[in-house]
Amino acid sequence: MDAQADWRHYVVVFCGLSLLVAGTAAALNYHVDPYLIHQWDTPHLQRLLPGREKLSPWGKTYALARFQPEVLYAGNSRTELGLPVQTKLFGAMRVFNGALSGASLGDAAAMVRHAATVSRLHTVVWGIDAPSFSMEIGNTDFDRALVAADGYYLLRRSLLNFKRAISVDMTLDSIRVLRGTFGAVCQSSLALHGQRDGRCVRDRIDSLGGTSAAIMPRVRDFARGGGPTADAMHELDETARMLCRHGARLRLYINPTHAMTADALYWHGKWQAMEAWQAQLTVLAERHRRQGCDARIFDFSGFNSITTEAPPQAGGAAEMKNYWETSHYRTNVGHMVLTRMFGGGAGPFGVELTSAMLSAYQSGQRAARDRYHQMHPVETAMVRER
Amino acid sequence: MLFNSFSFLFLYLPIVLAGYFVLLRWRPAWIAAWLALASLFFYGYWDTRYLPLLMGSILFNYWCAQHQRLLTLGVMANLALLGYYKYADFLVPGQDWDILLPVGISFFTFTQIAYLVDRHRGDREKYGLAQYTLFVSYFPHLIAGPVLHHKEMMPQFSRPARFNMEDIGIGLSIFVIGLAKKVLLADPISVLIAPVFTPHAQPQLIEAWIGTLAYTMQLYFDFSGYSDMAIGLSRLFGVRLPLNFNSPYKAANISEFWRRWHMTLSRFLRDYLYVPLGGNRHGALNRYRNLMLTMLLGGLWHGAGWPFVAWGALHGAYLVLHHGWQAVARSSRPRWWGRCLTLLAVMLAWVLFRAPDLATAGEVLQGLAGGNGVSLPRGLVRWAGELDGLGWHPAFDGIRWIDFSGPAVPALMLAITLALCAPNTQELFGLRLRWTPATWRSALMALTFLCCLFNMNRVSEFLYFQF
Repeated sequence: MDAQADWRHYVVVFCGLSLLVAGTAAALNYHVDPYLIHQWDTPHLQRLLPGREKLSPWGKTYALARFQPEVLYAGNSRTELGLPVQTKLFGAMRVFNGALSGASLGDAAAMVRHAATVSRLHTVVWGIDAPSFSMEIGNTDFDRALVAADGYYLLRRSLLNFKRAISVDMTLDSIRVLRGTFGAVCQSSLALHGQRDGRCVRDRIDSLGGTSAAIMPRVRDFARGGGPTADAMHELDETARMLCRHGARLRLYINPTHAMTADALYWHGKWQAMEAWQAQLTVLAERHRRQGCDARIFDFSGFNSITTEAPPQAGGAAEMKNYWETSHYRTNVGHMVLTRMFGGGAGPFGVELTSAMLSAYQSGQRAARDRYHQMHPVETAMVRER
Repeated sequence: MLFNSFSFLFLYLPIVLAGYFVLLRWRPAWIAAWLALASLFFYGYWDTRYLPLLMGSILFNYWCAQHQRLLTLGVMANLALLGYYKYADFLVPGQDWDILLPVGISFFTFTQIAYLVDRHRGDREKYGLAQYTLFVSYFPHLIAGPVLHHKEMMPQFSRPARFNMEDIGIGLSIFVIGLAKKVLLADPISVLIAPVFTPHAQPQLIEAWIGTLAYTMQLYFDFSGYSDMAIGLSRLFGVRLPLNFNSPYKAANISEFWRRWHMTLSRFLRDYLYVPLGGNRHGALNRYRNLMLTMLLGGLWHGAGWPFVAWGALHGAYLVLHHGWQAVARSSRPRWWGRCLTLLAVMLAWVLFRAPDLATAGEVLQGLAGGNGVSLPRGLVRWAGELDGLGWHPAFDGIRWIDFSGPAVPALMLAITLALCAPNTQELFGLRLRWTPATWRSALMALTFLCCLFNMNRVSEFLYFQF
């Protein structure tokens, strides 16, 4: 063979082998789809997965584009776990829980923007809390290329899915799925319209040594959060404005995390910042209401009849009724949250924040915190010891 | 669009190559215009706001080059442009300049200054606008070099293009080597660096040395990887770019280092700064002054900040010391001694180059000297008795800033071995070894490419884009 023919053979082998291997891996991963990144209404969704859901922003952004819900839940894992999609409060409207594990406010806002682009939103229910109220990338799997920006999302998305399919981790996990060794603990959140399967949490808590052992790590994680930050408040303002333009109603609610988490903020010197943040949220909601938007802010956190439930260390029971652990509330609490915001009426759990009542409310919370210290010495000591 | 992105590899490059091959067959005269158009698109894809700036710069310089009396004005205008975008905040601090640095401005400005200076020196060669536009904007080099010289590039753009399968094979292979340097070495190593160079991190001895060594290797594999990719890409179009690296960490002295590191910039600084300043023509003292000035400005070229100035000054001092030493010392040292000393000197200087400010650089240098203490991994506490016996009493508080669990440390070990012992890309592909089109070599390249491809889900920018 002459030199040109030798080099032609060289190039053909290079290109052929590269295309063959990359194409095979992409086809395998696209077909098996171990992380369910492009599934909606398919039998794949009934497959049991490991307790830790990987690439859930990929699956949820895709599902949102296909399902096009009218009611969207946004926020972090607290909302993802606690807010039920099976509820009569929204009638026949399609409901999807778009909250993401580990999400910061920036992540949640990106998800809301995505949902507003791919569907006509009627209502957005957005769970927030001070520590995660920042623009940090909280969920590291949430590549912003997944956020829809135009009407060609599904086309662009198929290219992204193809690109993601050419990867080592997905290929290894596809093989594990085919061999039956991938793990089968719980359903994907996509099978439950975005709501996290409680069995996944149970598995995680068991791996930590049970509810009792999970209490303090969660309190510490909560107190360690970098929020609230000014840029996150600006982002929330912008997103609320965008939702108003789309005619959607917005319900912000401060997550009903356990009283020990609120107490941890106090002992970490973050109480004042938290109160200032509540005031800013109140002003934000009122400003948008004055501009004709249906935006309201509710606080379910702090010290109330639900959040002060005794943990196993103080109450003796192995598990809590309202909480998985101090950071994540159960769906019975989520039902109460939704009922308070959409079912009408007022109760001891959940307060709508307005300028008129904020000062008295915050004063009441400070008094409740002091009472909590007296009446719950075990929990207080646990938090103080960190 | 990054060379190490899917959109470049599977969309942009195939389209540009397909257009090139079609024109090669039917309209070879249009190839320069096609590549120029593709290059402008490539630049505009980064940020369309600066596409008019690039095009304006090209047209202005082309116009100046046609008129002998405008050449000085052209050089001044280029320097003013660079000064405004790159140095305004440094030269006039305190103003709210809010200037976004246009990508590649240092490279396309220097390329054109060299052209104007050569025209001013009497170079009579004139080029067509399409060829000139391609020369300045040629996408393989536009963002981070190599710094091209018109005399070696324009003849290639002007001559009739021809199809050569060897160019395709060699080009693909060099590109893959560059991609592997970036994706498989520089990127995994990067996690070892940021924590050590964070302000107030106060790295202790081991952390400081690993962090500094990691940056030394990351910068080399990142930048030489980019240069290899540029050279490989260009070879696909039958155009040979100048070499930019020649195993710099094998240099036996600091002068040799600068003949091996970022060779096209060194050449530019020598020809258009050091020599015009007087070079080594007017005695030793003037030579040392010229060396210092050249390296100071070379440091400033990399960025508007005191750490870069200090880095340039340090290298200037190294060069002066080296030449001074050569003048007085007659005995020759073994080559390995010079290599170790040079690498050490270069590493210390990289601390200034990487640190966000001089205070942080001071902290890291202090750590390298043991000034922030010595702490060993907790697991080694069982050897405390033996170490005490040796008269050494380190702490066993663990390593805070270095993650030993991931692939970073093994990648660093491999990088060190390759940088110090392995042949470099140009040696592999012709200068020393002959890269023949054997099937196993092709398969090896394909597998290397696949390894890169399967690890490209988190695309990272090249370090030299910021310059």
